[in-house]
Amino acid sequence: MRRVAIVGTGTLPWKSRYAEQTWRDLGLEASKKALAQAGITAKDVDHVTHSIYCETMLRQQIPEPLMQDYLGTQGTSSGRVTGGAAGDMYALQAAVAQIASGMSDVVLFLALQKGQDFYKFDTRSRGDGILHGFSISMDTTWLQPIMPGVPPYLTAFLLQPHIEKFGGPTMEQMAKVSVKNYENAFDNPEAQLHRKITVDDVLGSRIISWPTTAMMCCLYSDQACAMVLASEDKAKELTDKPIWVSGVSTSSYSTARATADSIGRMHGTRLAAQRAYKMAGITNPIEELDMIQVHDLIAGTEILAYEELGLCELGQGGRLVDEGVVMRGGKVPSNLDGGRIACGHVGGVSAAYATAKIVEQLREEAGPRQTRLRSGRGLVQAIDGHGSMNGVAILQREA
Amino acid sequence: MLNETLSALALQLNENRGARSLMEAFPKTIRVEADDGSSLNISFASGRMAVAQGPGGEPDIIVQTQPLEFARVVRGELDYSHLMAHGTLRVTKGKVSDMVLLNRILWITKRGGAT
Amino acid sequence: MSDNKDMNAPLEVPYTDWKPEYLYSQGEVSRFFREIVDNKQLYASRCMKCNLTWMPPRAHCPECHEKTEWVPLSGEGTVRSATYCYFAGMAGDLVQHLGLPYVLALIQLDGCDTYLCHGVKPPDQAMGDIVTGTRVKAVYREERRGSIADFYFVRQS
Repeated sequence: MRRVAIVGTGTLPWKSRYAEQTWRDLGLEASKKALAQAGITAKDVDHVTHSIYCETMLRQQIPEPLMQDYLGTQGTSSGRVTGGAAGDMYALQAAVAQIASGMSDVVLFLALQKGQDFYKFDTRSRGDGILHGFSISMDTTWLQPIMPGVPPYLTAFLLQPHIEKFGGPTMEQMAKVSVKNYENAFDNPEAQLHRKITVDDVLGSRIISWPTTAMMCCLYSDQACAMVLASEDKAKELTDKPIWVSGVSTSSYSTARATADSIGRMHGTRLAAQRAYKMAGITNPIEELDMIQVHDLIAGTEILAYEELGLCELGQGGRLVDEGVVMRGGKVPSNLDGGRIACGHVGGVSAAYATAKIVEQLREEAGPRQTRLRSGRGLVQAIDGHGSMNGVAILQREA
Repeated sequence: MLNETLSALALQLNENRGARSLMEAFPKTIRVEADDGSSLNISFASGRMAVAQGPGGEPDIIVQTQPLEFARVVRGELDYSHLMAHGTLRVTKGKVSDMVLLNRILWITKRGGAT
Repeated sequence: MSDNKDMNAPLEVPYTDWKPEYLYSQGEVSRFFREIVDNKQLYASRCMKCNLTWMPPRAHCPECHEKTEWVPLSGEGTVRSATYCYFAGMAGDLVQHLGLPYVLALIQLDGCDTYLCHGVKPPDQAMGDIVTGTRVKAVYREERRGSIADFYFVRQS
C-alpha cells in the first residue's frame, strides 16, 4: 500500500448560514483554496471524492455531478461517499484507498453541506425547519415516529447507560467540556461563536434530554472544506510539509441494536480506532498523540470518545477534563478548533474541517493557537447522530 | 416584582423586529398563577406583548409556578425546563411545548437566545 | 424602485412545493403492524437457530439469515435507560401526540433479548417517575394505522 499525504487544505469561516452563497459556490471556494495551497489546478486532479451527507438539506438529490461540472473536473473519476454525519471520515477512507491502491495520484477531497436553507413557516424558525427536514435520517419504521431529536437519542442509548454503568461523566464535567470548547473557539477566527461562558451558563440552559442541556449540544451551520491528497512521489514534488494519513478506518456499529452489553458504549469508535492505530503503529495513544479532534455532538459524546479511543479507562473520561489533560496546554488537548459545540457543525464536513486544522497544527502554521508538538501526530474521530457510523484517522508529519 | 420584570421586558420586545415576528406567530394568552393565589396575565396580540396584574379572561395557557423562580426565567438566568423538571413550574392548561415558544420569545434579545 | 437597490444581495425564495407522500408497504414485518391495528397485540420475532428474540422485530435473523418466527408478547417490560426531554425539535408523531415532557426510553419487553426504543408517558411533568428498573406496559392509541407510534408505554402502578 502506498503512503498518502495531505498537501493542501481549504477551509472557510463557520457561519450559521451563508445566504450569499449556494452550496456550489461554497464547494468551489473551498476547492480553490485547497488547490492554491497545493500549488495545482483542477486540471491536475485525477479523482474527486465528494463528501455530501444530506440531499434533502441541499434541496438536491444526486448533487455530485453538478459539483463536478462547477469544479471544472470534467471526465475525472470520482465518487460520492456517505456515512451519515460521519461521512467525511468514510470519504477520507475512500480517498486514501484511491491513492494507496495506486489507482490515482492526486485526489481532490471536497466536503460540503448547507444545513440552514430549511425553514418552518408556521413557527418562523430555521431551527425547527432543519430538525423537521432531516428527521427521516432516523429509522423511519422503528424510530422516527417516536423520536424527539438527536440529543435524546445519544443521551438514551449512549450517555445515560454509560453514567449508570461506570459512574461518569458528571453534569459538571460535561459543562466543563462546553466551556473548554467555547474558550478554544474564541481564538479561532473561523469559529461560528466567539463567546466565553461559564459552567453555570451551561447547567442553566434548557434541559434538552436530561442530563444533556442546550449548551452541551452542537451548533448547526453551512460549510465546505477541501483537501488535496497525493501519493508519496507527488506529495514530495508539491510540498516540503506533507502530512501523512498514517491510519484511517471506519466502523458501522448500530447502536439501535440495543442490549445490556452495547448500551452506553461507542463500540464503533473503539473498533475504528483499533484498526487506525494498527495502521499507524500506535500502541499507547495518550503518549503518542499530540492532539485529538472528536465529535462533541453532545458534550457527553466527547467524554465517551476519550474512553473509546483508549486514552483512559471506561468511566474515567471526566477525570481527563478535571485534570486538564484535554485542555489547551494539556497533554492531549481535545477540540482546539472549538469543537462542534462552539466552532460549528454540519454532517459530512465537520471532521474534514477538524482534519484540516490538525494538518495546520502539524505544519506548525496555527499561529497563536499552535499547540506543542512532541510526537507530531494528531487524531480525528467522528460519529453520526446515532453513534452508529464511526470514523477515525491518524495524521502524522514527517518523522 | 415579576410583573415589573415582565413589563420591562415587554417594552423591549415590542421594539424589537425579531421579537415582533415571533410574537405575531404566537397569538396566545398566558395566566401565571402563584402559590399564594395571586396571578398575572401575559397576552400576545398583533405581534405585541402586554402584561397585566390579575387573572384576565379565559387564557390559552395556565402556568402554576413560584414568581421569584419564574422571574429568573424571564431574566434569562434559568430555562423554564429546570423549573418544570424539579416541580417548581407546571402547565395546567395548554401544551407544554408552548412554554418552549414562550421561552424563545422571552430570550430573543438576550445573549445566546434560546432555541 | 430605489436606485440604491443592491441587485447582488441574496434573494431568499420560499419553496414549499415539494411535499412527498407515500403509500408504503411494511413488507415482511406487516404482521407486526397488523396485530397492533386489529388486535392491540405486540409481537417479537424469534430466531430458533440462534435462540434470540429480536425487538423491534426482524423477518430474518441478522446473525444467521434464517427466517424468524413471530412470538406474542405480554406488552410488559422493564426500563433499561430513560431520559426526560423538555425540547423536541424533531418531534415524531408520538412525540406530538404525548407532548412534553417526553420520556425516551430503552425498554426490555419481557421475553426479548434486544431493547425497544420508545416513548413513555410520565405521570407528572417533574422528572423522576420513570427510571432504569421501572416496570412499564404498552397502551394502544384509539386510532391506529400500522405505525410504531400506534402505541406507547406507561408506568405499571
